[in-house]
Amino acid sequence: MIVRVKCFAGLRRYAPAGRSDFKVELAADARVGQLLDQMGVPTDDRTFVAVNGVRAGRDQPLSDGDLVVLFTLMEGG
Amino acid sequence: MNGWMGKILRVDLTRGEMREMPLDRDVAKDYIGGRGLGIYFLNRELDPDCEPLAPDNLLVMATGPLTGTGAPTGARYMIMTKSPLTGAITCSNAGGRFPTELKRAGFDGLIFAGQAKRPVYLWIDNGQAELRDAAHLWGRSTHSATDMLREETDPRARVACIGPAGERLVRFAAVMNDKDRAAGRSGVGAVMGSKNLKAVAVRGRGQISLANPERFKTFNQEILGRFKAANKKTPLGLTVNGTAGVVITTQHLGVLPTRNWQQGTFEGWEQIHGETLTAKYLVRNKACYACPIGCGRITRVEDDVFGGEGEGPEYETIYAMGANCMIDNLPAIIKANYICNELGLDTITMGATIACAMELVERGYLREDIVGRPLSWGDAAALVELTRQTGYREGFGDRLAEGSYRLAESCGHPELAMVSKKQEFPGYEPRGAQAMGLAYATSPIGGSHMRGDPAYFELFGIPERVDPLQWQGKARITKDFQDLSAIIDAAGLCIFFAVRNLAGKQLDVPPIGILEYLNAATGADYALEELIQAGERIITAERRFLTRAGFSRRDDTLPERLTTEPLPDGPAKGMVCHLEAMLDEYYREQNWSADGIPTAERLAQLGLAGEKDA
Ligand code: SF4
Repeated sequence: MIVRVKCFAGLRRYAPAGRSDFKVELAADARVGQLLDQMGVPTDDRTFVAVNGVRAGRDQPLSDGDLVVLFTLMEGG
Repeated sequence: MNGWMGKILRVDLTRGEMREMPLDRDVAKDYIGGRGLGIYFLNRELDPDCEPLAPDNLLVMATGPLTGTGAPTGARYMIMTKSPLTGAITCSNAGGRFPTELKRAGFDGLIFAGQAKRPVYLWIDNGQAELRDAAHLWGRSTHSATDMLREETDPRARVACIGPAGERLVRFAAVMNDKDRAAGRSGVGAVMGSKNLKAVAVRGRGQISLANPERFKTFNQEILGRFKAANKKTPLGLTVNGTAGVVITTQHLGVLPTRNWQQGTFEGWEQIHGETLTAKYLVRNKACYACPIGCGRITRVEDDVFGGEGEGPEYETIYAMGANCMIDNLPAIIKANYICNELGLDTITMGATIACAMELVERGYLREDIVGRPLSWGDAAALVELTRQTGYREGFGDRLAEGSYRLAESCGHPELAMVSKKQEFPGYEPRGAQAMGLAYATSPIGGSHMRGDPAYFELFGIPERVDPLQWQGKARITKDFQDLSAIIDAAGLCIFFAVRNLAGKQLDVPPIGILEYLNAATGADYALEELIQAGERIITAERRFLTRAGFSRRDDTLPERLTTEPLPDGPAKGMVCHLEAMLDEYYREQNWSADGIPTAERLAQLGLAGEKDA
């Protein structure tokens, strides 16, 4: 299966050089946790994963064509 | 005195007289400075029933004891007066360089009373103050007035001034310092305008003495060292993308107010996100005095219609003028921001008032022929044009200049104004961040997050993440954050640095780092409990002013939309804000009555029952 990944803010450095929007190939039954491990993204309280716009945990199953957005919660305002 | 300069300048604009007043040591310790000193003077000298734009209103500009000392982000001052937008107090805060210059010129603060017969400006040259004619500056933009003032006083002078919006008494006119830093909210610029005071220009060459310079320096090195180490691997988001980098967070938590608060997510969020701003329009970042973060944005847009160069936008501007108006055209938002800086307007109220007008038109409560142009969601050209008209009170701008509440009320639908105490909200949806609703409703200035920002624990996970959808148990944390904000505002620091770096990592955020800085700077020997109590004193002193001006629980409200209409989209879908339940808990935490009035016992505990505040 292939998912589309977009990395923002501090997590851009886990993206392939110079790209924030890219595709990742995963096993057919892969979940969010596998994607993060494959990319080397650490999961802590402030890492935010959204699948198709909705917040997702490590156990969330992924499907072909999903859009996964990754970023760190950021303050300001 | 150390830390404090020990002097306040009182300017009677009616008589054209000035008087230096010593700053009492005990008052300074009890109220710290800035926001604390502001409310101290307002409670002492201002009739809470006064008409905000009449000569008897007072306007206080006050720095804090850490302003200008070199403590990180010790750059700030506070403008406090009775607000023409809300009828409550203002706490409009700004950084830049002007506040430090004011202290170097010898003053902790300035109090303006009365009304000048003709436009004037105050020129302070290293302790020598003089009121000068400002006829030639009246009508000028903030940028041009600043340039002219520096030319005729001192090329190194720092200037705080109003633009055409303040002169025309726009109810949300800002006071701009160093051209683009805004004491933005609640119409402080209109109060300056009503007093015929165009500007304050200052040049200071003095020193700010410290009680214990060695201790100060050692602690400063430790704090800055820790800050630098923590941000070495990944630079702080605020430095890289400014506050505009928050768009991604609010969008994904479903708390990005959209379509005049009818939605919590915005389809076009990526176009207005901070990373887009950085990639396409950022020239460089800019820091206030002694700030290691530098969240300010110098931007340039090359565009036939919306081109220009200047400062901004911040997250709040992007929410208010962008998502809230369904505008995904970042150049237009930037352009409208530049216009606000030059004419001296608050970008939050400006954007939110235009969004409100868009909804009034959509629902048929306001006719486009009255607006004088088509006005529908997403209309970028309308945003820019109406912002300009508002600054000059031209055409429909004259109606917008009254703010969203008065506009919506005049159309028979005040419920469509997204305000607390008639002041528009910043960009965090309380249905998806419950404590935010409590903070808005209880803030002494109306809709604001900067007087105690629950976004830290509800949205950003600092010092730890607290479920944003939960409302039980939120009152205590909100109160603790409000107390912390009062201390930060009074000390002259910036929230963006202080919350993360100068408070304990527990949820009650003890101000331990601020304590060390204050003691090293002032020698006032605060105990931690005393400092926390000073924060509580400020909050309750502000509440006392509001109480005397007729405010109570019935004014601690949110629009019905937020408490009765379930949010239709995003992660907080189906939620309303449970304000009433949180309010009961909150008043108990404050030891105010169930009606939101500080009890006699509480006033006595905080030393507010005495004569000097009567
Ligand atoms: S963080 Fe931003 S607003 Fe605060 S002092 Fe620094 S530059 Fe100024």
